[in-house]
Amino acid sequence: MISGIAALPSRRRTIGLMVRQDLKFLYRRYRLGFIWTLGEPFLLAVLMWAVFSFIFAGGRGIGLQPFIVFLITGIYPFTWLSQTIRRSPRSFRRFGDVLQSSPLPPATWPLRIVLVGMFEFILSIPIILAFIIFGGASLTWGTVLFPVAMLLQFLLCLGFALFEAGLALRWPDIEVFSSILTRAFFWGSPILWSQKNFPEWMKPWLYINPFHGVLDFYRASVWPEVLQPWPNYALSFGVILIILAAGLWMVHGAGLNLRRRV
Amino acid sequence: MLAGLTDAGVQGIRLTKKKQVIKGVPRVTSTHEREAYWVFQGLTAHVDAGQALVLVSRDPVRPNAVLRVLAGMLPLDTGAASLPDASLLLSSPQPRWVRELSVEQTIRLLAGIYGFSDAEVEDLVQPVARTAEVEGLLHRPLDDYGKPVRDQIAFAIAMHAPVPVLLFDHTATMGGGEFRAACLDRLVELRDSGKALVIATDKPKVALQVGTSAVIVRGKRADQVSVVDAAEFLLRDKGKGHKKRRSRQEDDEDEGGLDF
Repeated sequence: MISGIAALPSRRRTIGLMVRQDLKFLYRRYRLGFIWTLGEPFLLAVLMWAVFSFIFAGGRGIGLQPFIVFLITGIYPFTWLSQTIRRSPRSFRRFGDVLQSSPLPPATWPLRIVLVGMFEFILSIPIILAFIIFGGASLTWGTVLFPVAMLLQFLLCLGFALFEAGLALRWPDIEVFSSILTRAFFWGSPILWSQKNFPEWMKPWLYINPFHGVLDFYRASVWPEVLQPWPNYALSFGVILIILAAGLWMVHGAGLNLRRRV
Repeated sequence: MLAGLTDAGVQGIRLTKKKQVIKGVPRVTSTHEREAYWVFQGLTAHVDAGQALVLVSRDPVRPNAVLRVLAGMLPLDTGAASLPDASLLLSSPQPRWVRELSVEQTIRLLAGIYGFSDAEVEDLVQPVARTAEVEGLLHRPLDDYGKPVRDQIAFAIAMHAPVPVLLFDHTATMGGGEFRAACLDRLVELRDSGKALVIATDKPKVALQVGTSAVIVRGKRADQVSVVDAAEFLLRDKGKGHKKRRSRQEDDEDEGGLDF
């Protein structure tokens, strides 16, 4: 298992071409093509901002101000997580014919999905920056945590992708469950709301959701005060490692012969 | 012996319709169940440098499984395998593997998919482009040329692969026009240069022209035969329910959008 995964860096150019192929394929049927990668989360953020700023004006206190920046810094990372969770159950089925004829390690195919999402997220960083600058906020020292957040999210997404891809071969119903999981992450993570309205005793428990810790690190770029004591992040990081280990076990170590099942 | 199998067998899993379905009761769960079956059993064969083993069968899935065992991608359920240190399994490249790329990128990606590292791919690009007859098209989109060029590239990668054993999954002849016609001569050249070839085929001509030994692969047993007998088996078998391998559908998945 380890040797297969360790060989992946020596094939990074191949994996890069796979990601390129996937990105072009994903958006080729749309007239605006690649713009939808950035446009869809952008429009969702604007919609949420309009709804919670004007229609439910009483809900203004749920996030941090400026609220549009708060939303943008949550929705773009969520898009990466959401796309990974939704696409992963089909990864071995989608790339099954390649898996049957290629000696590349099985982890390559879920990794490919995670990297597509990561690339889309990297493209969205200038938009996030533009909103921070023109939305009335400013960057702080917490920006140094942005790459850490990306690394943690990469590990989280990879864990989910591996776990779901392996599980889907045994239990195809995970495809349906992935939509529910995505919704759970949207409403259960501080994308729309901030933890400031929760009682103090409850805050550490919120970090059982690993995406909570990741979002804090992203948002520390603008609101360093969102950062909590380090044990909360140790909890989130621990959950990320558990998900990653479960994913690796599901694909490589569960006695499941993927190539026989695909 | 570069590669070989002794009394080898592999089990597969297939979906079969559930026998008991209660009439008048709506089906709320899957109507199919998974069932294990022998893809092949009792297979003994080996191949050495300068030899070509031909695998023939009514069902292309069976020789495909043999090739995947020899490529180290599928474990045996019974018997023993002597696997080569390095090999290349050449399957027919599907359009969606590479459709959006240029010809050069296609060479790189296909070589990567067939198992070569980035450094090895770098050395392969130019010779593969020459053999595949695409030197002048390297920066053009592959989609402009389609299947023949894609197949020529795949075949050319096999020609230049720095491995002692080459496994062909119904890909002994590929590409368009003259390239396709020359494939068998190229395979003979490869064999005579000291490579070991294992070829799954349904074409009698491939067996006769390239093969040095042959095996008829069946579910319950496998028979070692001469290449002439293998060719006769294929001629006899032509049109007798030879199953075509189910091609996977184009990506039909709902890539979805944001869900919340």
